[in-house]
Amino acid sequence: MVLLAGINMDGAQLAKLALQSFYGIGPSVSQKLLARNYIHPLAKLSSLQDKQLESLNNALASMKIENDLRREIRGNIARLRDLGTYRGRRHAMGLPVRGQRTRCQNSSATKLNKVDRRG
Amino acid sequence: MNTAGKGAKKKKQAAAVARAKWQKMQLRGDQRRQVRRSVILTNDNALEVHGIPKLERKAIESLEIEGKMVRLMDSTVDQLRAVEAFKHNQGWKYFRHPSMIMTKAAVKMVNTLKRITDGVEPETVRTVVIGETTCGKSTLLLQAIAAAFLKGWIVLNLPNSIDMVNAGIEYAPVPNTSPVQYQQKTYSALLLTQLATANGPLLSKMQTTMSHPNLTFPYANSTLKRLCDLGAQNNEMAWPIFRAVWAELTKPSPTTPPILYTCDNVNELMKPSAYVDPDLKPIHAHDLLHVAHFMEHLSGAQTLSNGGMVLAAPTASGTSDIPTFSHCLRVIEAQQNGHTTKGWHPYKKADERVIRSLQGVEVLRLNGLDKEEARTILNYYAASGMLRNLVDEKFVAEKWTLAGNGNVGQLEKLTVRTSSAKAPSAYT
Repeated sequence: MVLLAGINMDGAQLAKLALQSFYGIGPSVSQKLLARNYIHPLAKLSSLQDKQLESLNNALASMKIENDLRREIRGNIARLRDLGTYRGRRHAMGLPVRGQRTRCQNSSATKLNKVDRRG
Repeated sequence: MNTAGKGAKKKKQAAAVARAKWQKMQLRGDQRRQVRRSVILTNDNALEVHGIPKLERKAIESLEIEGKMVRLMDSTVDQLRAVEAFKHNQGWKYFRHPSMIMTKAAVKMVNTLKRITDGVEPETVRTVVIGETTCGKSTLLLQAIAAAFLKGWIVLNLPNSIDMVNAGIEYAPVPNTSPVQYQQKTYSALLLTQLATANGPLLSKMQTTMSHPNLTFPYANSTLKRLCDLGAQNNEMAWPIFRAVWAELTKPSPTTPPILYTCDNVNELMKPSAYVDPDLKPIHAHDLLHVAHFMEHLSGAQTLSNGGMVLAAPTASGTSDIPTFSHCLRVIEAQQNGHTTKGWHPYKKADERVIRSLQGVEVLRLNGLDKEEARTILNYYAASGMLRNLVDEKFVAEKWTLAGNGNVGQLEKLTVRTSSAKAPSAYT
């Protein structure tokens, strides 16, 4: 097991995918983090040196990921709602925000657009 | 009835394929790679072919083997396996013993090795073998390696050169280098394992005579084999040990044998690698230490002080063209033949490092077998029981032509690898 940002991860997992398991890190950010620490794309977590892990952990600690990022997004939506803006109201109603049609195909909006958005 | 039977057969085949796939999925990544790359050198179902001489030192010296089939000795096979000179896609698995035809090019190569060994002044020959796909470039490298082992040379082969550049193994920057160079410790350890296994008896007779400030342990008077073993076990020390062993091997000395330094699929090393630097820019393959080491020798920037040969071959199959590399080879070949060729495209940027790495190399173009050689090899296929046709002049001519003027891989494909070739055709 390898500790990454305070979470115990399976050492047999690819480092690239382990990073992408955090909310707020996708393929691009993950690639940048790997390149900065000279980790090749096929490296397993267990094969990383202590120095590389420490550097990754430091980078993750300074980034806005997981609940911090979720809180920020929720804060942004709540602000729009409090101001009474169109986007805020659309979020509250669970409807598309950016002018998409609502007759059909709005399931993403129904799922995601809430004032208390989950992620 | 007939249709239903066909359907059932198809279903059965599909089930077998699915089962094989499922079995493969059960293997871990590295195990899958091992299975995919496993080299099988014998076929118990093939017949023993009698009367094929063994490739011994004496046979090489006598040079009476031109155009004949020869069989590799078990000891040579072990050494060739150690340096990973056999490729899994070559047709060794169809025959009882690993045997090959000594073509004119192979004999020329053996002659060059002989000239270097017997020469008074140490000479470093730098050659790139080119030719169409499956024309026998890798086999020629293997023949050169086998001959070098028999002549008591030290052999270093860069196995699976694509593994160095496809970002599958770890990499780390070397401090205080400009432009930044990158080391691959696992690959260094792999090369040292190869050196120790394949050249063990020679290296265990040689002791360290120079001082190596980069080595942080007592090494005085230890044998080079011991150094290699140490580096193979300790990735951290592998590169400094590799440098130290290489320095000892290339130190001018009348007792040190010449070196054969080979690299197959060299075109993979002539472009930016799949590794990236912190700014996400691709790292050029020539910035990787082992690639740079080989290129220094291929370009002649470093010579082998006790003589030797630097031999490379590109792969001609399934790869995208590397314009600078292909152009350089075309120009060199044209110069050798006294021809002129088109210049470089005025608006395209050439890769200067590739140009530098190929300066002054000799290009050896491999063509297909001639009809006599084709006949010899077809007779061998037939004697092995892998070809059930009468090998006469008409058959040889037909297959030689169909194989694109005797391309040896195509000849094998047409006769051994094709199931229809095993059934006697109407004309026999």
